[in-house]
Amino acid sequence: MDRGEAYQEFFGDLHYTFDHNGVHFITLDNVSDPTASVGDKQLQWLQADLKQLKKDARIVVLTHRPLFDLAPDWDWATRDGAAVIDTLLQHPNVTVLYGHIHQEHHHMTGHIAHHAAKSVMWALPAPGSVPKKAQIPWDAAEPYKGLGFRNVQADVAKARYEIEELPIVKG
Amino acid sequence: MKTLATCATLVTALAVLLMVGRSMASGMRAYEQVVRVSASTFQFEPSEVKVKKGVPVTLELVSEDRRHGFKLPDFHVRLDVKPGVVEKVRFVPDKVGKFTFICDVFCGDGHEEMSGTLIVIE
Repeated sequence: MDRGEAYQEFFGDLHYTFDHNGVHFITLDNVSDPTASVGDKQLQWLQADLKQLKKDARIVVLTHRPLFDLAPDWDWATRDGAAVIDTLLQHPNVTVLYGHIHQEHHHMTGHIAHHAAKSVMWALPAPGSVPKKAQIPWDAAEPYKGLGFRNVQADVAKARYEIEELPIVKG
Repeated sequence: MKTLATCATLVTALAVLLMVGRSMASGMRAYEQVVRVSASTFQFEPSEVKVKKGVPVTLELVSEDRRHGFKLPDFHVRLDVKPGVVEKVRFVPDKVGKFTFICDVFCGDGHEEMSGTLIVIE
């Protein structure tokens, strides 16, 4: 509702980059705009950032919402996500990690892999599996059902990422 | 002379086509389904809209409080809904079924539940 004002007060910019062990990380904000858009200004910033990278740079993009149309009737999309993907497609080694849907999901747009991980709270159903999007009711018999987190191991030289899904509690 | 006759035939044919088109268009308008939907935090009223397949629909959307969005992805319909303005969108429902429409402009804590259903019948 505040377009990320409170967040910026405590944590800084809504979109930024950093480099770690040979990987160029780009965080994009597609959630603080009420229309779930990246916006022209941020898109231009992304294009300028990509321009200064080597063509084969290892790039990991972090977003909140999926950049592709995962479930438009559940609003699981980014309004101008296609423009972002078109921009990213110009680089061969791009992987996108996103959240929002609180469940494991994997999708390819061209050569770009998009991965969502489980969340540690507020499990959501698979898109289209129920008539109306709603939180999965908490079940005392299985309190951690649908919840979890992920470990990502990067092989930077090969631009490969090993993903390990972990439950909250190991059974 | 032959060219002149051909031209005259073409003009007549075009005129007939235009008249038929207009008549069809006015006929279609008579069957147009006009539905007004109001948006307010966090609901659409009505939340269920029933229309007939193949008959053009005009949705008239108005907001009762703040800016909302209206998105009906299955028919590629989306528009901003603002207070004091009646936004209109026209489309032809070409498939039968139940289709979800949502508010796609974040409007507060109940935004995620702000949705409705378009029911298209034969």
